[in-house]
Amino acid sequence: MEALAQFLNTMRWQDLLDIALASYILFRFYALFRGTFVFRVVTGLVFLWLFGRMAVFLGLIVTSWAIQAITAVAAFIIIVVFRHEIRSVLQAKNIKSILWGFSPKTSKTPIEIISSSAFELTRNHIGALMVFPGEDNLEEIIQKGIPWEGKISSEMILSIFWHGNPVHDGAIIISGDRILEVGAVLPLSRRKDLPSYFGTRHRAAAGLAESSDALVLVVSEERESIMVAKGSDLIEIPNVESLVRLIREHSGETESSPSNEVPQRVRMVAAALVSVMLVAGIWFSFTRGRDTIIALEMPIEYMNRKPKMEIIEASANIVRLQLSGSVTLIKNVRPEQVQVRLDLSDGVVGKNVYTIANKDVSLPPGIDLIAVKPQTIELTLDVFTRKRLPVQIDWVGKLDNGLRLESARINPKAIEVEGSSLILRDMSTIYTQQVPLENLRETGTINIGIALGAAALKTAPGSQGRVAVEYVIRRR
Amino acid sequence: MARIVALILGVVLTGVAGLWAADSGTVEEPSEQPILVHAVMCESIEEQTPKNETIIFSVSARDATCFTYFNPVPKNTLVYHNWYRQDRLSVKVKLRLRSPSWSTFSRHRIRASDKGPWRVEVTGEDGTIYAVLRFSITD
Repeated sequence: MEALAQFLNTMRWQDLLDIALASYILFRFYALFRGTFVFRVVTGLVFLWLFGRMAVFLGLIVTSWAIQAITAVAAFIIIVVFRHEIRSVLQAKNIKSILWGFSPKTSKTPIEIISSSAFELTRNHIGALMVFPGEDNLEEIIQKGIPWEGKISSEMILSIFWHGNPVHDGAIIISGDRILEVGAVLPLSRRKDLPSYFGTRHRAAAGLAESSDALVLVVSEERESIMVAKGSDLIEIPNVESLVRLIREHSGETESSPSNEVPQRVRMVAAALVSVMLVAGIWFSFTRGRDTIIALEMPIEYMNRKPKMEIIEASANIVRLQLSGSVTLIKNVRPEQVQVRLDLSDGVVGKNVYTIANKDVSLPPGIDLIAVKPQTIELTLDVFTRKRLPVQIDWVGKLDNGLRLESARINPKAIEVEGSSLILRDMSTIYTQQVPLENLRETGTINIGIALGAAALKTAPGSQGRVAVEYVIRRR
Repeated sequence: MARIVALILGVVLTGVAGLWAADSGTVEEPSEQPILVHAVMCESIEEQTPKNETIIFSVSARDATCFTYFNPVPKNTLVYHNWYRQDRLSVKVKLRLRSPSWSTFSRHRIRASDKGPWRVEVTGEDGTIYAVLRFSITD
């Protein structure tokens, strides 16, 4: 008990939030996609992934390779194959229902009314064509009928297909508890294998079923029979119960009954609990596994450098980080997830000493920093500046003993130099390149370049890199 | 330590000083600062005047001399001859100026290791730079 309390004490509030959020996401995924193929396929993929881990553990080379390849493209497969289901969840529901709503898939379509009405039509020798759309968009397949938007009732269905009604020959489109359209024209099937006694209604039902995932119900006035077209099948329906079952299967709806409500709630609570347990289990296995230490060498990133401030010298550009965490988390640490950033906003020109603290190291969640080497970084910061410096000639060699170099005039006397303020701060003169005295015999003029000793120095734009020297030589 | 010999030569030129005052022709208060009339690097001083002005001193020569002449010198004051080898101060020579005018010089004993560009900054007590004389010590 004490150990449990001690263990729980090590948890941060972020960890609890982490588990709660992940559990809720998992639970919402179940609530939104339960009963659909997406949920089943994702569940299957989870098992596939677990199987793959086992295969890796057991050293099954080809099996693990194949499963890894499948699971790697699983997300892509889910998005492509189940785009309709995903779209219907994301589009049909508002944000509130996605985040909170429990939309149990109880039957909204009055399937019993429709089914009994269909059999009522056969008894009255009235033909009918009813379309129950699936996920496919039918707008491009059927010729649009007359908008109706009427709530389904037995009387309405009978009156629409009554012989005296101008739209009785067309199909009705049913969605939920509404008849959306009446008098819709369906594409006729071109199949040659349909029985000869099939009339236009049957061919229209077969035509739409072939080219979409819709279910089409045909009531034949001559043969007093009911058939359902789905895909390439045309099934004769013997009774109301069979029809109810077929339509229900097509719409993916469950029977709504008060007795169903309680198990539904129980299922959701159970799903919520399972989500929490599953996520908590994964979380603990990830974060509280065997503690491991690794060392990473990371480059230091310098942030918030003042404008024009340059780094002249750094005692180190790479630091060695010692990180600890569970085996799973440590194994998944990628270098791009780890950053060492030093804030230079308070840097001044000259030498600055920075100590790398925890706040300067960005790590993935669950990974702790144990040590940094070196922990202090010495940076020499500088700004580039300009300074006007007088020019002095750098005479070298030996002048003939009989001569005396009396004076020299330089033009220009000073030039503007650009470079590190630290270097320029201590400079009061810029020198020319060396001028050998051996060649000088009499008064004259020479043109000589400026010697910019430090690499970080250059003559400022507009300033000349050479000077003219007029010198005067006298005989002794 | 380089042997620096600072000799102060007093030259009384009150007439010149008076002439300067007359030439100014202004009602402004006369400056308290001495005026540097002549500053030059030379090989020697003879009869209170610089001999063999030059900007090159061979290491084989004995020494380098910086000569300065101030006129007028409104009141007794100090000036400095600051000898720099490149940008590093080598020696700072304190020299006294006496009213009404004064010439003075400092001398640097040349060693073989002194080769390179040099300069002498002539400054006042308050740091005012009167002149910068540039020269080189060569082979």
